[in-house]
Amino acid sequence: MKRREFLQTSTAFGALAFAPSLFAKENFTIYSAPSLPSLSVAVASLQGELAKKYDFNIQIWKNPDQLKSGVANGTYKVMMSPTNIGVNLRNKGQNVGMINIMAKGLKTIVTKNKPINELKELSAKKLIMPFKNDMPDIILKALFRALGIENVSITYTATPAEAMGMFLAKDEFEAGFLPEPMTSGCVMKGKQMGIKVIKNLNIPEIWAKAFGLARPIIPQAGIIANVDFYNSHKDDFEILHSDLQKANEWIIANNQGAAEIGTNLFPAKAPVIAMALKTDTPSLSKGSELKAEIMKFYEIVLDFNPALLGGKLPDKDFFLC
Amino acid sequence: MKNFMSMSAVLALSSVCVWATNLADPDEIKPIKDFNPPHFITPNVAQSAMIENQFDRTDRVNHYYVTNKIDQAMSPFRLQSGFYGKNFYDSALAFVRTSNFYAMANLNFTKFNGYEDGGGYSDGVRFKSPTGQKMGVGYERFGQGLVLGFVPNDLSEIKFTLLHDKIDDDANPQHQQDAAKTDRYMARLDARLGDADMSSTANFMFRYRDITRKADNFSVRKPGQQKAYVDLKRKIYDLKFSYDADFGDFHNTFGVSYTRDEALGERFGRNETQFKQMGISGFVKNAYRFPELHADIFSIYDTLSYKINEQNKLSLGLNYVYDNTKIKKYNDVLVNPLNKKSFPNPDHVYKNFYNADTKGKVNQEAFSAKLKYEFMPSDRQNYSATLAHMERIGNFTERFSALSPAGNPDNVKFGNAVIGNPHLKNEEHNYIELTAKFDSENFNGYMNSLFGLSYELGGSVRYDDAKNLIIWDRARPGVANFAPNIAQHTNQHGQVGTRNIDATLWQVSTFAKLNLSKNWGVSAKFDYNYGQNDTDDRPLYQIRPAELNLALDYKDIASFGSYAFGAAGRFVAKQSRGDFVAYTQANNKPANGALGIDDKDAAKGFGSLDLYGSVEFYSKFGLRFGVNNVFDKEYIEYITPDHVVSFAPNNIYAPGRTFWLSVHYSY
Repeated sequence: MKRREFLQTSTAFGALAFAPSLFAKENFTIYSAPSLPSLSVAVASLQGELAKKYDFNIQIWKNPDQLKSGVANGTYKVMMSPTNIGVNLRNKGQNVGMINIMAKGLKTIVTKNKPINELKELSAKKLIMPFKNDMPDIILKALFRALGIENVSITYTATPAEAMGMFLAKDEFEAGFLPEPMTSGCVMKGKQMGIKVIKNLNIPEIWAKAFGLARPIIPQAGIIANVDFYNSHKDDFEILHSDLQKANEWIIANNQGAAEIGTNLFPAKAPVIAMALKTDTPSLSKGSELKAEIMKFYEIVLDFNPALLGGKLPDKDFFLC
Repeated sequence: MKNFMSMSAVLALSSVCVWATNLADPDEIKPIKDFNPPHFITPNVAQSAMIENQFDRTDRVNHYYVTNKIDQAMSPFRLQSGFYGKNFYDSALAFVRTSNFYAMANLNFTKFNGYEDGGGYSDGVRFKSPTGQKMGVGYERFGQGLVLGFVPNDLSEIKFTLLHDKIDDDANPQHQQDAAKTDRYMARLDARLGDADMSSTANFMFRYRDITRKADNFSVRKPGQQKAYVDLKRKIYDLKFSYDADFGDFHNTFGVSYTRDEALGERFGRNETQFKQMGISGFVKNAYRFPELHADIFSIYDTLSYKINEQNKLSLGLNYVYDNTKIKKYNDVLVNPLNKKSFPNPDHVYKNFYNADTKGKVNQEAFSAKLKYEFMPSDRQNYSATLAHMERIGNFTERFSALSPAGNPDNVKFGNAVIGNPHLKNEEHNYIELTAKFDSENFNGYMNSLFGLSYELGGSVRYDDAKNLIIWDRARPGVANFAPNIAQHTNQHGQVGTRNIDATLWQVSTFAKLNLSKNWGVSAKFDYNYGQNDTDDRPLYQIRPAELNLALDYKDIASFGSYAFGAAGRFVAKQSRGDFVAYTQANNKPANGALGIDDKDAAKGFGSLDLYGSVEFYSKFGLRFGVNNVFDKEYIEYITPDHVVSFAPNNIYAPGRTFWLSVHYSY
């Protein structure tokens, strides 16, 4: 082989080595919150139809600032987050819209040793919860106002784990409002401490009655996406919807297996996640199917803390699916 | 959504009554070679357990199986039933936990019928007994476990544990006797007063252990003219108290304990022809395994830890033990009905073997200390360096076994004797150990990866300058510890006793667990051990050869649940360093002969491959299955079997190709 031919051949091979492979799948990543609905995304990434077409991955973001940064710099195209974050981003000029709702409400309030049958039994009691002025806090305050419940003393902590710890350790706290799987973790930890922790009430049902809604839904979290990305992948989002439905069916039918996958997503042991999945079963609805409930929810949030939504309600084009 | 604080520490489902740390606990030091029945099958491992086989040390329980999630589920009822070749293991477990009460009950049953080895021989045995009988292996085992716990409030907890394990007809063809019966009970009460996080906590423990064993040469195998059996009864009472306290960046654990250990082991013999001629019925006691030992053992310890900062911690542990053992029957008269004289009693044998005049009691003290530095730069990395001086007092067999032959005490010739040395010095282990463990960011356990490549790496290195290491050896003149005139009392085979020697020990262990993707995983583990008898300038016996274990696993989820397949290779190197030649008066050179427990055929290197799989349906029902030793390799474990005391064991080959399957159910 002559020198020129050798160099040409070598260069071609070298270029080929750095060229994108013709056979590599395109990446489809969902950046998801460290919460139970992420489990549905994770299972869909393992067994769904979309995973055959794309290199389908899930990544967990650590805090809302990381999420906002990822959206702003264009890295994050598809995200799972609390529903207020999607509106907040859109109202601040980001080109995002809602795909679906995957979490329909914090379910229960925990008490120690004695159950409560109505929310008004919290009057004159001390309750502990995380995240002041965030969504769970607003949900509870909205319910208290709608039902005329007063004199509930609420103590806030920076994290759910702190709230759980203080709830169990201090007799003064008679009730706690915690997200899953922390609620189930609280029940299990209570058993180690000789404390009977009881899950009470169905908060979404109380919400629906209080605000005259047809369905007991508090649209708490779901998938949002970059609008341009959604428009160029509409068929794929239909496949994703089907995958998520099947993932939810699998999670309900395979409690232990789902819990094991869940240990990758949040710092909880499998038995805790397994217990959480029994009470907080996964759900899925397209955003447009729950528009009434979602808008009512946003109206209430806006009333209590407009900053959570970026100052105003979303426009009608916010609902993509 | 805000970040969660790590829930792992907060929500850890650790078992209750976590016992206080005794950093310098001498129980961590084990004899070079120990002889015991198998460990209890406790409720927490019963559902995943497999057949215990002392002739095959391949660890198959820890391969990756998706059925583990069924076995470990916190469900009220779980079952396992399986066949492993022609052997069976079944286990049932019930579990309940409420706010103040928990209970766990387990029944497990093993029927070990034997196997075919890689060479096609039945039960790995390639010889016949002296009576011409074809020898074999096997046993039947029934275990029960009960755990009851009461948690009245966050500052107290009481737990009661009861275990019972019965092993019948445990055939040991490697030795002249079989473990005809082993019956063990353990009852334990734990109580905690104070915070579960040990910040100001008192722990109490009371434990009672009852062990009955009978070894003989006639109930499991066909007897010859000489029948013999050894009866062992042992009762051990333990009482422990400890107090843990935090003060500032310091944590201190202080503890005291008392143990009362009572053991009686007697040997009985019968010569059918002679006894019939003399009209003697039954058996005659002719020696003691343990001449009614009553030991009172007191221990006091303290461990102080100082958290320098979040990443650095220094700990110091101290432990003192005082052992007062009375030899109640050291001077017992054992009448020989054949000649109206007496058999050698323990006093005779200790004096003749070691010049040891115990006067029926031995006191010993042991002092241990350990300094440990830990460096944890993140919650995914852990490094430590340890400096230790650990002392072990010899166990009952090493110090007080008095199994002498049925001869003349004035001119005893020890044939097949196993004589402990009551005046053995404590083993002293002066060691330095370095450990490291590192998890990559997304590592969440082997074969549990959602985010692609993740791994866990780790290892340890220990160098031990051991003084007065206790070893078994064949008694011969000119060797320290044995009486100078020992030659008068040994026959040509050189009988077994204990000595103290100086030794150098190395242990190196490394492992890697790699999750290559969401579906594939590879694991590797390498162990290397080195032991040198510095006093005699020869290798130590029964040092494990270098071993590499590799596994490749695949798992996936499906609509019905999940499934997994794997292949595991075990590669054991040839062991060229061992104690291969038994001393006899013929060779009469310590350099050529010593204990001789190691065997060249067993020291050959080998490799074996297992293929296995598992499937689970809706986290409720599962199957675990496989083929062990796929290529039907012939091999003998270098580490000899240990259900009975045997210093010249026959070689028993490990199982050849074996098909197995177990069913798992959770309700």
